[in-house]
Amino acid sequence: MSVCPTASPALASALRGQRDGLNARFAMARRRTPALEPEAFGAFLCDRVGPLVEAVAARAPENTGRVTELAFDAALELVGQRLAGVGGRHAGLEEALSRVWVAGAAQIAAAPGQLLAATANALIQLHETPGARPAEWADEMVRFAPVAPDPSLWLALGQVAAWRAGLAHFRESALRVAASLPDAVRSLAVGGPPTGDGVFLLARLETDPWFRPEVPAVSPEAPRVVARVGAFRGFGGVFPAPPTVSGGPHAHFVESGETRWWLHADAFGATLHRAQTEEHPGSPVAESAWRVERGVLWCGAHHLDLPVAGAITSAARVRNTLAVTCARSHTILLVRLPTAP
Amino acid sequence: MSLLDRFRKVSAAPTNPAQPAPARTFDVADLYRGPIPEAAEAVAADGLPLDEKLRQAYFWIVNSAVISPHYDIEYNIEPPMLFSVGDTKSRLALPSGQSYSSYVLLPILTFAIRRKCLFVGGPGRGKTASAILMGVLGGYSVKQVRRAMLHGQPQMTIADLLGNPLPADLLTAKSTQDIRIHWRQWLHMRVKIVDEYNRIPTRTQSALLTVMGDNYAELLDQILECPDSAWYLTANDDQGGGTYQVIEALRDRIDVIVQALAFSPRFLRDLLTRIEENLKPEELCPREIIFTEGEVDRLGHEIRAVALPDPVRRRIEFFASQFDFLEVAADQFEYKSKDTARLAGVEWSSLAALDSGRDRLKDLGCQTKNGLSVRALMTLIHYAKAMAYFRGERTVGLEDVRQVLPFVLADKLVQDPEAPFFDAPGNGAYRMDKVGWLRRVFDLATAEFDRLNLDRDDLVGQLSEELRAGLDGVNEATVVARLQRIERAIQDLVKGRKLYGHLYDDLVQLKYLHQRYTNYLRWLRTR
Repeated sequence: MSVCPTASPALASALRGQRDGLNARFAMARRRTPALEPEAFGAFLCDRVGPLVEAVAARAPENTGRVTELAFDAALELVGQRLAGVGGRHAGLEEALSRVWVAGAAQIAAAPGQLLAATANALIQLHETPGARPAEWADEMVRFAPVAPDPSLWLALGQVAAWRAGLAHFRESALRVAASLPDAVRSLAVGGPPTGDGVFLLARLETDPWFRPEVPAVSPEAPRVVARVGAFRGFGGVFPAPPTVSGGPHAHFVESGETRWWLHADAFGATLHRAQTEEHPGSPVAESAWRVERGVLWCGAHHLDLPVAGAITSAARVRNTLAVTCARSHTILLVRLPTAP
Repeated sequence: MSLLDRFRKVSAAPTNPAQPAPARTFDVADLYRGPIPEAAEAVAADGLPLDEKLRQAYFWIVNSAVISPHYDIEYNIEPPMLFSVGDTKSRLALPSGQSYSSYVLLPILTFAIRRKCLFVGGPGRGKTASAILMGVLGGYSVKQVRRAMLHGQPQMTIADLLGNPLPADLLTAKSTQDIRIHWRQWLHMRVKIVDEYNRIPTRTQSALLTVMGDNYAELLDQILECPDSAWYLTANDDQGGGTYQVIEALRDRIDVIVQALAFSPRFLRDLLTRIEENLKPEELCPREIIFTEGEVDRLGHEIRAVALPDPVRRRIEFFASQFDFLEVAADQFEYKSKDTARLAGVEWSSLAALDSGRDRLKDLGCQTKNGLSVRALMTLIHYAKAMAYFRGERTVGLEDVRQVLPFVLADKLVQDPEAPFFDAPGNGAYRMDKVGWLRRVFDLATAEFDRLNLDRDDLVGQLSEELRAGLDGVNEATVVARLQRIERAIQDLVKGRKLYGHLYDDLVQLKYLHQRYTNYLRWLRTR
């Protein structure tokens, strides 16, 4: 196989050293995934694996061969499954991946088998989650690399960053990961300043899903619209009919036509996950802190005109997030209530 | 799915679906899971259970690397479908449980418990290739395994086997202690392969015996301690043929023997693919199934922790007691053993003619020329535990023992082909089919155990348990009562009955118990 005519010196040397074995892997992968084009694969090797191998060669030359071999395997999967490369499903994935790999070359050199796959899988998941922000996650991983030389720490910071990049369903476990981080990086992990009070920020995040450390505080007393989630299936959303909501233990339960979903939402994003057949929301809870009447939300001394189209069909609270649906929209309106119960 | 598609694919976990999968929750740890597989070291860090990893290794080999459609280790969860085929009414069973190919499974169990496995079969049947795969599972590259493999040949010297003294030291050394040795690379490997071991000259075999038996090498007063290893030996003939006769002690060190069965021509397409694509399975072993040294250590520990329940142990005891007894071998009761006759050099056929009075067709002991050694029994227990562990069980079942027993005892129990059993209708093939014969013998022993109702009515077992509980605080009256029970038990056992192997062992046991109590009683009275 000669698919990488412009390979960097370190990559070319590493490829030459394992030529027979790598050629056999390519031949086998091509039979398994006919979409694996030599040209696209060669371009990925040169443009994305090459800089990583150069960076590893500069930091830990003894690991160059192993990193090349494992990056080669990862590239076979990425290009073969059309996840990256020319004609890949996820535009921007390989550019983001390359940035992360080069920035984390020292960590990857120490644990290539784990980190090459982990970073690629994380970016794939972020790309495949509507509303998530993979480029933002890649930026954070680049930022974390110098302060987290240990591969495990770097990955832990990446887990918290993924939640903050839009994977709202990971909120609970990401907060647990953040709590277990060393004091020196906890504030940084949750989006605060490097020298910030990580314990304080974490406590705020745990009590208020709509708190963002990097955003100036807003008056907590007035209810305010914080997000709109969901869309008609015909326009790229998931709802075949205007949805209704009810409260669940940790997330809103959404029904739309024959489909049922769990909605996870916070200040960093919102994700919808199809509910299993046997799953259902908990029993309705009588609410006294708020009420919705004729398109207006009443909450203590405050009120808010809800920007909805048509009659309100359902409203339910989870923690301090009120979800509201209406008859003429496929979108769920999310309102932050003043105080967390 | 073509063979190529399967080459690098490891079976999806769990390979043993009896174990329920944990309920899915949103865990940020899932962030790093996806279509890109992690390499072996990362997977191990994830804590994949080692029995699951072992099964994945088995299924990868049997589905992708070694073309072995022979599922001869059969497990059933409900009665299997049976067919009677041909003039000989051969039995073809479709097992209802997960069943295995011994040619792949036994080497993997050997790898897990670091024992010694002999591959036998004609040339070109994949014996050496299978051994190399085991080396690759141990984390070595194919090149390393090939270079470290010992190739038996008629000119092999002890230096070829173990290493050479450094020439400079030979000239300058004041004593042998000063001579450094360049040890051969294979001695340092955790997977040792000896190809065609029956072509090694007899003298060199003795040096090999030291390494195999005692795990060290010695040359010019220098000692090299070898790491604990799994051994794989190959031979075209397991009957001691080859260029040199294999010394008996070396054969006895081999724990299991597996036979490379004939290639099924239905799989010619797979061979064609390998040729056309220039594929060598050993070079494509997925990283997920490669074991680190620490993992193999842990495997051994976890396998030893598998429990062997008393009822299963009792049936192994009953089976083992069938063979060593030879009534005419001695006058002294304790020496009525086939080993006594063997040591005396008496011809077996003359002994068999003397051994009359018993039902030689029914007596399982008549089918063998020897009994079971302690080493063979320990090996059997070890492999039975490994078999249960491989299947995801934490206690050994009787079927586990039944399945591994033929491969452990194939070379340990020497068949007497002249025994009346083999002349019985339908039994002639057992003269050649040792695996089938040993399973049949075990089944017959188990049936006899059931007939005697020893699960519920085992007086010797009860008396043994009483002693096992200890003698502290046992008074004189109790001891006398126990002695009387033992004497009555002996009277009952010998009353009008022929002496068979299991009965002989029970009598020896009762004599032992009697002696222990007699000594204790004497001590009590002289205190």
